[in-house]
Amino acid sequence: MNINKTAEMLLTADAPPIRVLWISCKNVLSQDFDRPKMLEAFKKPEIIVSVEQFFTQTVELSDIVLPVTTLFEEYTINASYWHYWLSVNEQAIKPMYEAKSNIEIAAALSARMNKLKPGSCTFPTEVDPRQWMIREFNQDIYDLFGIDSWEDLKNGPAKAKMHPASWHDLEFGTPSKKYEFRPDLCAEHGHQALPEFKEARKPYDKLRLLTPHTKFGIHSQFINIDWMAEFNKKPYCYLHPGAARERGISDGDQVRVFNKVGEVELEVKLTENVPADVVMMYEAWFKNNSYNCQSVVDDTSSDMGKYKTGAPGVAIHDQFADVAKV
Amino acid sequence: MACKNQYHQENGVIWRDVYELKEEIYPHRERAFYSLACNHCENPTCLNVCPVVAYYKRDADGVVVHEQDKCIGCGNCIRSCPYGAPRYNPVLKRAEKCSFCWQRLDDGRKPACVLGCPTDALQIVDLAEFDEANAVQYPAGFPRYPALNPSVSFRLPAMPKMIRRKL
Repeated sequence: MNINKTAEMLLTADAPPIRVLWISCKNVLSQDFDRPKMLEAFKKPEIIVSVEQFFTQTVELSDIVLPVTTLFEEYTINASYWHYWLSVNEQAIKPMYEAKSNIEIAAALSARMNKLKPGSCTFPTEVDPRQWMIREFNQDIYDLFGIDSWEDLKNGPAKAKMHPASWHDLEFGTPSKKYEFRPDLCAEHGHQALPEFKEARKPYDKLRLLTPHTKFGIHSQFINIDWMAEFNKKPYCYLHPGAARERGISDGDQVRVFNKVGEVELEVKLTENVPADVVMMYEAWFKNNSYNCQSVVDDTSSDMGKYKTGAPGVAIHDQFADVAKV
Repeated sequence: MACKNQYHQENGVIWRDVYELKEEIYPHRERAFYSLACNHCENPTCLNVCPVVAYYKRDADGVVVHEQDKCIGCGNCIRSCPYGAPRYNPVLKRAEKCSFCWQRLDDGRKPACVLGCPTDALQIVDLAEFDEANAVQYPAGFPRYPALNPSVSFRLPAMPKMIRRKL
């Protein structure tokens, strides 16, 4: 399945159709592209289960919600992209109320499935989260991070022994180890081996719509937390004064940002920080606020991404919309 | 947010906040800010107006400390501080303000805000020795109260060079 077209896949998969949707580690209704289509898609499965910490927009539309542990309540390993650090997350408190860790939930589900139909799930039926975490390590990982045991991480995070820059050893990460002007890898994955001009996506509305990350959160996380919301209370869109003048919009007006996908309503800030043909608003999930930039972002695929992630990316820089005063 | 993360003040009670510079001062919106809290003035008005001596100024480093357990919540300090540093805690019904993390200082550590600032825009300096040509006590937009003598110094933002296509 193309993970960047979740809604489309839910609606169109037919061999077999998707009857159960089990959501974990993801806030689909906030994060996935084309939210109006996702709202339709969520009507299709016979049952939707979400495993969550917060009452998210996804939880609102789920049939069953399983409370999952926070980082304070579980043992786990933190390894992020965008940096080379590895750290151990030690359990600080026992899980509150009925919360279970993701893998405990998976094991309980496996146990149930195997009871109903023996052999139907190969996931272990009983796991100890701490032991499970320890099993994530092996000698290669120890070598990569220069540690002897996972317990070394209790003294602090370890950094992978990898150079951050390409070509630091005068070799590229290509099959030939050289800069490839005509990469076979490219041709093998359906691209032209040599660069060629491709027409950009045709604008389908008056302004280019940008929905970048905010400094106040990571995707839909953290922005909803009370004490962080003190500094970032609600969403805004940013519009050039010239574009605003043409539309009779003043600073601080309530506006609609709309296109063929859908619309959102929010307050506008006028600034020359954005070009005159752009409207910008941050990706976010605010507590008690229905704002969602994916209501105006469609799921059209970009031309690359399949080789690295298994599915093409989404053309999030080629989205278009218009703005009007409410 | 480092301050809020350190102390988890009641909702709505903010010791240190970040204020966007108006476009008359800096030409781009949301691109230059003042991070402001208590200025630990040489002559603190909060201390002077407090009827129960809930404030004291430390000799060694000049930090103005509010002892909340002595506070009766009269609001004198909140009304008199022109910088708006003391805030009202609606749960305890008492005032509170930036402590300069004096407990952390005494332990040889930096205040949470200084530690948390990703651009090193906040630093502790010894004003008796701090001498920098580009630093001022009262930058544009920051209220001037010489009688209080706020213990702060601001490095002025460099004006950006505007390179822009004609639209």
